[in-house]
Amino acid sequence: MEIKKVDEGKFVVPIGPQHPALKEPGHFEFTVDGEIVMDAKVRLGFVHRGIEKMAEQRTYTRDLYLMERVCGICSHVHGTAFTLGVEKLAGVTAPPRAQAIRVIIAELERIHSHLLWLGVAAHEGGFDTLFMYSWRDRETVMDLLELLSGNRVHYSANVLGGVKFDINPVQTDQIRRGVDYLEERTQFYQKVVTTDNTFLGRTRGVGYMSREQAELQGAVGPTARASGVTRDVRVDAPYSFYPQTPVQIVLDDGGDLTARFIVRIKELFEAYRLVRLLLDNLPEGELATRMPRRIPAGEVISRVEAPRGELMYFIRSNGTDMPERVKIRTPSLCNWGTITSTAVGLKLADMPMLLAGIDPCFSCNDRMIRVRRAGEPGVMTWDQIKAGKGGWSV
Amino acid sequence: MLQGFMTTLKSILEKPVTIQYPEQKRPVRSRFKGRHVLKRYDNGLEKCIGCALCAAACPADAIFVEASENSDENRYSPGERYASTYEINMMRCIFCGFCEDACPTEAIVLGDNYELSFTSRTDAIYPKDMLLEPVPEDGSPTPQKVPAGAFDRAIPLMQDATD
Amino acid sequence: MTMKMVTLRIDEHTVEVPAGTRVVDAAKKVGVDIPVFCYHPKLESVGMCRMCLVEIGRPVVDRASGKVVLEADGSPKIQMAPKLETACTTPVSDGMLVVTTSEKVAAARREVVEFILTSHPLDCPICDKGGECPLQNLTMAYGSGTSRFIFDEKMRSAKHVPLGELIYLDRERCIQCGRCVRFQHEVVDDPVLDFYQRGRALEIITRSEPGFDSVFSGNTTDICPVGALTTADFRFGARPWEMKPAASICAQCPVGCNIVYDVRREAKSSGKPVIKRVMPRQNESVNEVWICDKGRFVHHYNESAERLTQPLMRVDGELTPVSWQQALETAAAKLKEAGKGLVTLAGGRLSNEDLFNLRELTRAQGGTTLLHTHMGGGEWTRQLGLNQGSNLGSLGNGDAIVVIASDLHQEAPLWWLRVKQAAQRGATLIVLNARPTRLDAYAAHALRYQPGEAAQAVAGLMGNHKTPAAFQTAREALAGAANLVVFFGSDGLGLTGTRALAQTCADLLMQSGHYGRPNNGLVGVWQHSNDQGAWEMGYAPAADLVGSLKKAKVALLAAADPVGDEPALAKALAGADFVIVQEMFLTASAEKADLVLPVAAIPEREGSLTSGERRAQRFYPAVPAPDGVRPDYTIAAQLGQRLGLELEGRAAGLVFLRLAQSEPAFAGLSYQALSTAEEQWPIVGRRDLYFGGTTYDNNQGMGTHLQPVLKAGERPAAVAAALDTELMDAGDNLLVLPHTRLFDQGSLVRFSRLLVERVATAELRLNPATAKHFGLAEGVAASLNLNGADASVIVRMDDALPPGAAWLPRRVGVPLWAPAAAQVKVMERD
Repeated sequence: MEIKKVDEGKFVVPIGPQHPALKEPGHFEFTVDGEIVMDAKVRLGFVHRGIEKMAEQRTYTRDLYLMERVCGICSHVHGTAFTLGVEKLAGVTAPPRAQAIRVIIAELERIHSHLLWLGVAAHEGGFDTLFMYSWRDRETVMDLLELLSGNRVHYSANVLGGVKFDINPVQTDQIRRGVDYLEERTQFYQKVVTTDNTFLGRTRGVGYMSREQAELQGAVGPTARASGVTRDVRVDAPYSFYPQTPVQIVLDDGGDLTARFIVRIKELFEAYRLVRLLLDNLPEGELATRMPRRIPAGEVISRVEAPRGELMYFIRSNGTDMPERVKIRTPSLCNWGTITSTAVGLKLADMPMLLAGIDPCFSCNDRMIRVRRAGEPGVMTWDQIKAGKGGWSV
Repeated sequence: MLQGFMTTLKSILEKPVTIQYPEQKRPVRSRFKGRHVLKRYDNGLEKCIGCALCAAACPADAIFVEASENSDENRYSPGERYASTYEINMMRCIFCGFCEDACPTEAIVLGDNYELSFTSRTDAIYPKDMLLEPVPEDGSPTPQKVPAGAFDRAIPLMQDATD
Repeated sequence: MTMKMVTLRIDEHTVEVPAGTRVVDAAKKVGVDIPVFCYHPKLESVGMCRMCLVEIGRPVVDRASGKVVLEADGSPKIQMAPKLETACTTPVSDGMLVVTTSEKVAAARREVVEFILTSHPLDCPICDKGGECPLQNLTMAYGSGTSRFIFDEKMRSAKHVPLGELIYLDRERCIQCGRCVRFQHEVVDDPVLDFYQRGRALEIITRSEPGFDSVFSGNTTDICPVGALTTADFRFGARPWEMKPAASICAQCPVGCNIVYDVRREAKSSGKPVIKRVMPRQNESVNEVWICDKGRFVHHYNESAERLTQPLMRVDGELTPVSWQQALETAAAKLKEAGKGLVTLAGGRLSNEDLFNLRELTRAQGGTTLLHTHMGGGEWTRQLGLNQGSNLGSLGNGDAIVVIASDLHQEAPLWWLRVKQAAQRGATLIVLNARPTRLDAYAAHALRYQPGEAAQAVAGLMGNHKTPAAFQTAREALAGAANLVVFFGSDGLGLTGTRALAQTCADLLMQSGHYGRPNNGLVGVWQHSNDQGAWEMGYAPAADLVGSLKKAKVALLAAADPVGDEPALAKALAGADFVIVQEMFLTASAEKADLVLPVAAIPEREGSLTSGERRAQRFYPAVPAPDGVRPDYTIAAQLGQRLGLELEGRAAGLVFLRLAQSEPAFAGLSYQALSTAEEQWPIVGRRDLYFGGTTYDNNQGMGTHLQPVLKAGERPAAVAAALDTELMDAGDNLLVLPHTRLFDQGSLVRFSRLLVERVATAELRLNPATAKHFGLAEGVAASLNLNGADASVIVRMDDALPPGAAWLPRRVGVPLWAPAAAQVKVMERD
């Protein structure tokens, strides 16, 4: 690790893009005064794959599979956001049973994602026992997902106009048993993260973000809700089957890392409740309706609540069987901004925990964001992009 | 302190959650989507008729099919058409199962095998003879010599409309 | 001529079309798709399939006053017909209201599809039409999805019926729309297909021996709205969506049909992209939506393993592979040495760019450029050829077409088709030939002349020569023609004869002033695709090729095989110090050459061809060229570079630009100009395949005519006076006349194995009286002594041929290019 001297008494510690703590590439520069972080910079985009561009050269059906591959953890929500958008453009509504199954898979995925995060965050805090425990239990939900879809990660549950597979009574029972077991385990985790002194020592008061700050910096998902921001697409703009099964929003005013743990664990309980509720009230009927191959021209914005927060898709169709433009705004990209401000004043050793606190997804950063200021041109040349000019950040 | 040891002691008695792979293998779920298998009829004829709909449905362009014409002297599959070349690039395949859905004769099935490893890119392309399932006991390998007109329909007759 | 226009409403559109237009076409013009199966815009409508049912209303006319009854709001009162009507048979009428979107229409379509599908096997997965099938598309768009039909009563018919060796019929898939039958009867007048039996037992059968004996048979597979007709060549070759189309021009004859090569990677060829099929590309000024079977099936030559892929040089008497570097160095050194002794003999298969670069290369050395052909007269087609705006499809009543000494049906099938159609539209067709041809049936005047006297016959048509009375009436018919197109060929003629013929034809046109304006002029029915282009660039055949080759120090042969063509030329060529051959294959000339340079085939490169109608058209690369071959224009440029010349060799488009600067006929043309396409009628190849079949839409360029050399009224530069005549009297020997057959034993045809049965063989056809005179009988093998060489032929009797001469096809292994006197004797049987 190279340490660059910038100012009297201050050093810049560059971390990454390849580094031992986080499993994916991201580059951070922390300016430290001794142990204390004075400034933080984040550079992302090391996993750029050009998915949005690729989408323009594939049919909608093929795009669906492409979108599922934006993220390896929350593949289903990407598929759902895309499907819902395309269905809206085509004026097609998936049958209720399909909608319900979509929500079941989405909630199972949320369980899997949160348990995964719990393990990762605990690992960053040096609490590997919790990591082992939560990952062991995550196998349960992954088994359930494999039971339903045949795959552990990319479920491919969605098709345009519905879902691909049904849930039969035998599977319903298995899911219930799995959820029961997980609920019991989750109660144990809740106890651990709220009472274990060593752990609390690393989380309580660390990375505090006030509600105003969270709103200002556009935080989304559990990160925002841990600061008391009532922001959840499932509640604000229910989609799919959520209007029939209202979600109780999980909030915490703590604003620190502990609050983020608590919010996510409470969301697990909410997910268990939703899964049970949906399994009890699974509507009968078809799994899919017919979709036209060519989607009528138009634009649509489709929002869903991913495990990490609000996921937004913009799709523009020109009436052919391929989209003209697909723009994805992922939740992680919104949350990265909070790091730079909350890091200031913390110890360098807190950084891994802080980073883990927003549940960062690096493959979600496969795209560019531009803050367009007044008077700036809307179109950039390739050279400008390469030079990173004009207020673009990658 | 004692409580801590108790936890450890309890864990010793628990059944381990890990298994000794590859000696032990974890059973896969029935909906699991593993490596593809090309099925045969009981008499050994290939179910695949080389229609390339799997290749058309494949979102990853992993499948390449080339068809040729059957004859009663050299019959691979029922009907006029069979797949003379059938290749799946396992590195491209995303195991979505669309090929299964597209297949009009239920010839391609995603099996249980998840142990796919290769040492080169060309090895990742599985040709037809790797994908075809073994000849059933009372069947014979393809191409077969069959009586004229016995297998002139590519798609098996649907006896029951609800089938 | 103004047509009466009719205004009608179709759904929410108001459209004005000429009276007599059918509702289905009027709807198509405003973008309303009325589904059809049996209707095809190029065929007469029959209303067999009922798919086009629509609701039609007409304004109510008061019987007493004869006026249109008005509604309260002033609009005409419309009375809807009680039943649905077929849009394909109903002509438009004023004030008509056509409703295509009502529930009644939707129900009718749904039920027609359901009905048609009762006997359809639905084996789309293995059907070659699957993916571009009108029935499939219309079922998806208008079908109900389920059938009330009892499955067990489904028809079971033969699925594998070879109609001929080229076309297969699947009786189960056939929906009996009769498009193929009607195409064969109405369009090409080869009534070899027919309906047989009736009701559920109705079948399509072929009535000819050999089966489906028509040179246009492949087109039926394009217009078939289901997969009932498929070509043996493409059967199960690939799915339509897997192939990449590449626009090209057919190089098999001077018509220059617009085609598309459908290309796909093929495992059999170890992953190389290969041409899977040839499809027509719409060009209403050239080939409409059709192509002949030669163009469709002769495309296997470029995949052949016999292709040369390395330069070969004669080292110690053996052709040895050498590097391009070495080959070009050697060739350049030899060219430099040769100077004026360089003779470049080019074939008509070369593109405009190749010919231009070769000409520049040769001229810079002071050498001579020769065209290798047996047909002269290009100096006249160059000056009096067709101009911008010409379209055989626009000839009709009041116009005249003269076809002389050409069997168009065999030499240029699409021209035959379009001349025939022009005659059927009312154009006066005058056919002159020494023997009967297929075009006679449509001719207003089918005239005969003595073998070899074609030029005299034309002179007779002008009244300059003593001729029978029939010529007199033909002359009168010709006198009032608004437009006149003259086709001349080489049926029974050689180089001298065709040159004389062309000159007389030119006289005819100049006498009546039929040149220098659209749809008027002289067209040569050449043997190769770009002979016209060669003439435009100043290439001409040598009057005495043997003498020219004998004098050559270095002979450069490009796409020409004099050795294989004529033994005398082989001897002449042996005298040259150094022979360079640019070829795809190791031809007889290449075998004798000192240096052989392998060249790229047309589908492997870019370029342009000039059709016999003087239309320059572009072709695009379809498949990658094999390693080691180069296009002819590149080779010429690279040779030029070594000789200090600045020839363009980087891209065909750049060569063409230079050509446009240097040749007045090409002035102002560029690849951009050649690749412009305009909206054509009928609309084909779009989403609604059902309307015009699977012909491709033309987006890649329709080509453009060359600039006129002579404007109307201008006189040509010089008229050579001498009218050489060819041998007409063979004395005691048999006069053998050459003619051209579509499927000859040419170097490209032989690779299409499918066509083997259709390829012409060395058959000597003659009148029984003549045969008797020479002691010949039907089917005997005879030996012909032609120009000192022996050739064996099979004798065939033909009552239709005039006595006194015998006909033998060109390119069947007998070196016959011009009329010849032959000693004939029956061969002893072993």
